[in-house]
Amino acid sequence: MTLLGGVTRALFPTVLVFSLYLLLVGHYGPGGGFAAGLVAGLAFVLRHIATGSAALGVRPPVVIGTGLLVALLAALAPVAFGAPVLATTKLAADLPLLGPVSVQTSLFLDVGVYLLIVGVVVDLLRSLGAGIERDMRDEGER
Amino acid sequence: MFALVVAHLAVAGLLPLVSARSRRAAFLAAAVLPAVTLVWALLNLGPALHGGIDATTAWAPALGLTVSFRLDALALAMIVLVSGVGAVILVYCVGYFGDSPDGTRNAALLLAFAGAMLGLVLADDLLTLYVFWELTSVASFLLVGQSGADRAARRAAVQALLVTVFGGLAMLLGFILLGEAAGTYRISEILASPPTGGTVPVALVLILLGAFTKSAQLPFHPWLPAAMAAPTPVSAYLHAASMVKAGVYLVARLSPAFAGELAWWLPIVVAGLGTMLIGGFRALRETDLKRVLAFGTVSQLGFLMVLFGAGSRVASYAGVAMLLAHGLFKAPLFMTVGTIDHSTGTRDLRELSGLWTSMRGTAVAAALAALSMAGIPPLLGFVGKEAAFEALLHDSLPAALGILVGSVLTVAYSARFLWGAFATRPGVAPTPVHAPDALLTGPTWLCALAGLVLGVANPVVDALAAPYATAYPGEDYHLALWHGLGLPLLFSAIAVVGGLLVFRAPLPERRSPLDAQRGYDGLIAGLGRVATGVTGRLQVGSLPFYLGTILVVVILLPGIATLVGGVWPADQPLFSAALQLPLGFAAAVAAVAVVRARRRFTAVLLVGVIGYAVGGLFIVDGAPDLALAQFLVETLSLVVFVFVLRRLPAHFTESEKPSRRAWVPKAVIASVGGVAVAGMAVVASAGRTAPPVASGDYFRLAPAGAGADNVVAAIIVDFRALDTVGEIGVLFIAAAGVASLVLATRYDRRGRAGQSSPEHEKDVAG
Repeated sequence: MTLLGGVTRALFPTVLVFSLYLLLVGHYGPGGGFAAGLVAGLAFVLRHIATGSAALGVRPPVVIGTGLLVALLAALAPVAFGAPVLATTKLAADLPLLGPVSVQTSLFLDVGVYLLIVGVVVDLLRSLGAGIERDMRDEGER
Repeated sequence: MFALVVAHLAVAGLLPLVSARSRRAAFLAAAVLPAVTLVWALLNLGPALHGGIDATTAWAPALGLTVSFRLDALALAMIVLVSGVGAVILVYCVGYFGDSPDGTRNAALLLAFAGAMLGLVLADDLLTLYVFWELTSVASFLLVGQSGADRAARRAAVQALLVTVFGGLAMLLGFILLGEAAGTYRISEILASPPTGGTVPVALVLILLGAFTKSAQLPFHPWLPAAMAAPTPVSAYLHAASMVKAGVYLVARLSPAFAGELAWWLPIVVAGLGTMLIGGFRALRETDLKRVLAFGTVSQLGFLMVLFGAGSRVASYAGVAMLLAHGLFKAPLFMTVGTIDHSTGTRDLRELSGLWTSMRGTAVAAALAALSMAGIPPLLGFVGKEAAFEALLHDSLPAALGILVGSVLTVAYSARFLWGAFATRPGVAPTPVHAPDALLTGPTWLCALAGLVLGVANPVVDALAAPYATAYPGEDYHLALWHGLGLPLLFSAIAVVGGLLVFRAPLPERRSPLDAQRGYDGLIAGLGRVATGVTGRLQVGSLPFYLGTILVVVILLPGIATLVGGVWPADQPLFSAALQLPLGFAAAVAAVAVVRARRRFTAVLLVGVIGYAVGGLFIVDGAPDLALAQFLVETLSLVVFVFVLRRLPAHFTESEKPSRRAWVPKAVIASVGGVAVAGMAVVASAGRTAPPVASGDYFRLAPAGAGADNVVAAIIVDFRALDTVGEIGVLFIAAAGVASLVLATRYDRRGRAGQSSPEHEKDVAG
């Protein structure tokens, strides 16, 4: 295993968790679905460069479609409660262990954005980054 | 009424479920709703003839849009054709399509068409009418094109769609002009107090464009004979009995208000007479029985146009009678052709022989219909034609003479049709026939007999026509078989005798130099050539050319506008924070270095430096969200660039010294463009004269309204959430484009060693 591979193994999940933090904190500080999605996408880029694995573990079209679906459902859901499209409200609950937790419903739209951005970045990676392993191998043989 | 129309469309959507079990049952199920509609209309006969029945459903109340329907005498006459003849033809389809797999599609489409057509004739709102009008065009396209496997059918379908939709769009424009001039889009209100002057003549001409294209008037008529590529029941229903009458119907609907306008009646009478003569003449040359009938339909549509455009009481009686008569004789004639085609395998009149003896039942029904078409008493066609001669002899002698010549041709092609279909030809062996199904002959007989019954019972037609016709002033008139000896009867006799003489006379073989079909073909080919030429000149495939075009446009339009109208701020500080100096300096140095870079990789890195420096400026100015996005996008761009650079040469140009002629213009455009953009930025930033109101509201509402401490986030996911949804939609489409490009390059993935095989990578990466 290369040095980069080892670092990536440690970094990949950490960066993903950081991206989730950015997603959740977006309502209160710098962050949000777009930035979080890009960070998660960059985590995949790092792993792709380090291990060159073509199998990214996710299928980009599915992720992109899920993202758009989540965003659209989040946009339309208020209609079911008699509110206008894209209306938001605060949901509060008292969870065991965590205590009182509140979340703004616009977070669901942001989750959709997040998923879609991750999917787009991985899709770019898949289409443009294919064949990088062979190139590296060819360089080494020369 | 709204429910009835929607039911047609809904049942049409469910029909494939029935077809999956039995295709014959699907057509029978489809016939039920039109039959119910006819019964419903007849049950409402009383109120419909005395004033009419209104029904209005809100569509988009905020925009003042309503779906308005109205059942009156004219609508009722059309429903007899749309739903009555429609139900009969759907039953005929059972015999015609049998268990053919095409039945599934046709059953659903024909019923959907019946619903759209019903909506069209019931509509009491110009925009409602327009929606159903275009729906019938779409249905016609699908029904002519069928599965799309046949080249001729595809061409015919596209021609029908292009011509009718072109007219439809012109008509929409006319509707809007008319509606705005009248202050209402309700047809009944426009008829009650028609607007005049101003844009009204323009509106009327545009509306007539729609009516003429739909009803195949000169010079738009070629699409109708071409549409005969459709299965015969489709031709019988859409292209004879109902859809092509939509244009005539629209003229009939609006004539009571606008018959006095020159822009209305003159085009109608000229195009109508021309169409009647050209159609009749062309019908005499055709050898395909279906095309004989198609040109006959074109001719009859011209006749109907003249009658409804004439705008007098007697002409309206004649119009309604001929409208019904035409549906009731042309539908059985088409069904006859379908039956002959089914039983003998051909509809070329040069190959058919001896069918009068071998298909006696069909022949008698066809003869009955053809006699009505020729205007022989006591059929409905005669009643209508008598009234037409009476009306036009009274209104305008030239038009009456034109109609007389048209009628001579009508008799001639009616005779030619009967002779061509059923006569025994010397030298041609009797065509082998297998006996037609009762489901084919029954509907034919039903329609043909209806023409006879209504001809004898013409007071029924008279009662139906009276409420519409009495909208015009004039002396009282009634449809009848016998009006006494007079000019109309003489004209009818001349038409019959002259028609038989024309039929016997040999035709000159010369082809007309003016052919509308060639005009259409030339127009379409010319469009293609222009498109190719324009694309070839604009899309030259050179990135510097594209960039240069964009920059020149930026310099010329917003650049000059800024120069002329902009004000350079008097108190523009060079910088507002000390940190801006090194960041701006870095960006400037990197920008100069990019231009001087020879290696692509160097240039990409330097562009990255500029991006990060700009991100730093964002932080200094207190926009961490923006800076975060900028850094992330910059990083991702760098990665993408590196991926792409692997496939490009390391250096920008092969020769170290590019020629002066190549780089001087580029340098000039680039520098002027850069200066222009910088200048515009400064001028624009000084353009604000008051603090933005929206920003203040965003700050005030974000914590409570959106539950967000971060105003930027509140804007993105709450205040302007619709924009966000739109933007990710764009991203989705872009990603789908990328995915399909990737898929297109790995068509041969299956059967190979999987995704990471070298062959696959070569495919993906090109």
